[in-house]
Amino acid sequence: MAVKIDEAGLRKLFPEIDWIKDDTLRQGVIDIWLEVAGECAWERFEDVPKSFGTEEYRGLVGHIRGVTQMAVALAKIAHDLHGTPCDMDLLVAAGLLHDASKPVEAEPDPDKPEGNGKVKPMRKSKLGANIQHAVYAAHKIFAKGLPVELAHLVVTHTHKSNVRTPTFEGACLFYADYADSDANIVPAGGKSFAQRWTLH
Amino acid sequence: MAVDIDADGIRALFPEVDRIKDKALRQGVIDIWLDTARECAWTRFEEIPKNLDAEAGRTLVGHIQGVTAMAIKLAEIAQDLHGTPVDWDMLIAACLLHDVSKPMECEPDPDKPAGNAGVKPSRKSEIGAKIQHGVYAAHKVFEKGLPVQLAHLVVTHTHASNVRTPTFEGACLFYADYADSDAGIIPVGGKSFAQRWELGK
Repeated sequence: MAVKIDEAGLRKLFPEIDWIKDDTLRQGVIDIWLEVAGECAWERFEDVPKSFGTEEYRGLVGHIRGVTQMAVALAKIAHDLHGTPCDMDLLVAAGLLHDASKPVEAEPDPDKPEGNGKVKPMRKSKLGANIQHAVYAAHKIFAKGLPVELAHLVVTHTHKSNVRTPTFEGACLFYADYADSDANIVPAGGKSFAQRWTLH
Repeated sequence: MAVDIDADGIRALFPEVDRIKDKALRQGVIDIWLDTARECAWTRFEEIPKNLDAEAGRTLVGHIQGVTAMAIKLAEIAQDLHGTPVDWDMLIAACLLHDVSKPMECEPDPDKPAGNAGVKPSRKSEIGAKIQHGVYAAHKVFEKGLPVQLAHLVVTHTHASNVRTPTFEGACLFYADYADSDAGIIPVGGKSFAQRWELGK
């Protein structure tokens, strides 16, 4: 099984791809998603849930778009109001790739009952069970010869890693990731991430 | 000492106040800022630093503008992409008031050397030393007869409180508050909040 999709299909799925100005970086992001399409056990990216638990019934694709848009919005406001420097190409690429390994970290679960019809039931794949979230995405970034800063942002975006990024791009990605998560957890009656953060 | 400003001046500082549709709520936000202007020990809101530490070199006003713009944008994207319900009036009012008690919680410090041109040196006031951040703002929200949900968002926005809000408006305020803080901290070499959050239960 694999997702049948081409470059045009990916651009339609993630119109934010074309916000990346650097040709090599943009093409790298597309190529990584095309490889994930070929390698994963899904038929459509739209079928892949965002996470287990409260977020099992929302799509990963919508989350990735939300995170990318939110992160860019935060960075633009910071730049316009405060002059905070931001590498926008890197930020957009990181937004689009931060969860690019999820379709290979999970697979359809035929034993679970269908949920709300928006996404399909899933279980961890062998890769997802053995390799912490985002490391496979970092592997793809290295394999494509994309910047190490991009791999850094992707690996550090998840608290499966104990390493945090000191960059503003990473901060935008962090706040956007959990704001978009809470945008769906709160209406579904779950406990928001915003309620769970403690300062160390 | 007091800040000499009228309602138009507040509107010029915080144009988002006119995005609040409910008249009583909009007027309440303006009135609280005008009360604060009279009560605080500053002469201009623009000279108040955001805080006493890593962010002493940036303005409170710029921070409030940033938080408001960011929180609105986060909520807009969530609503457009995911249909997340948002109480816009409440969100905007909470953003504009979340740090309104800061001008009362600190005062000019004549003993400290002047920092950068934008802001003046600051120290805690008696209120700031005795009353946790956000509570005096909540008092003003109650005094004006504004909704308890607004006082809730204002008190819970700070981790000086141990109570968290379950609302999406509060989540937007939280992420925007620290994203805008980090936008000021990172370029001056400070440790960002984003590096310091750990997930609890």
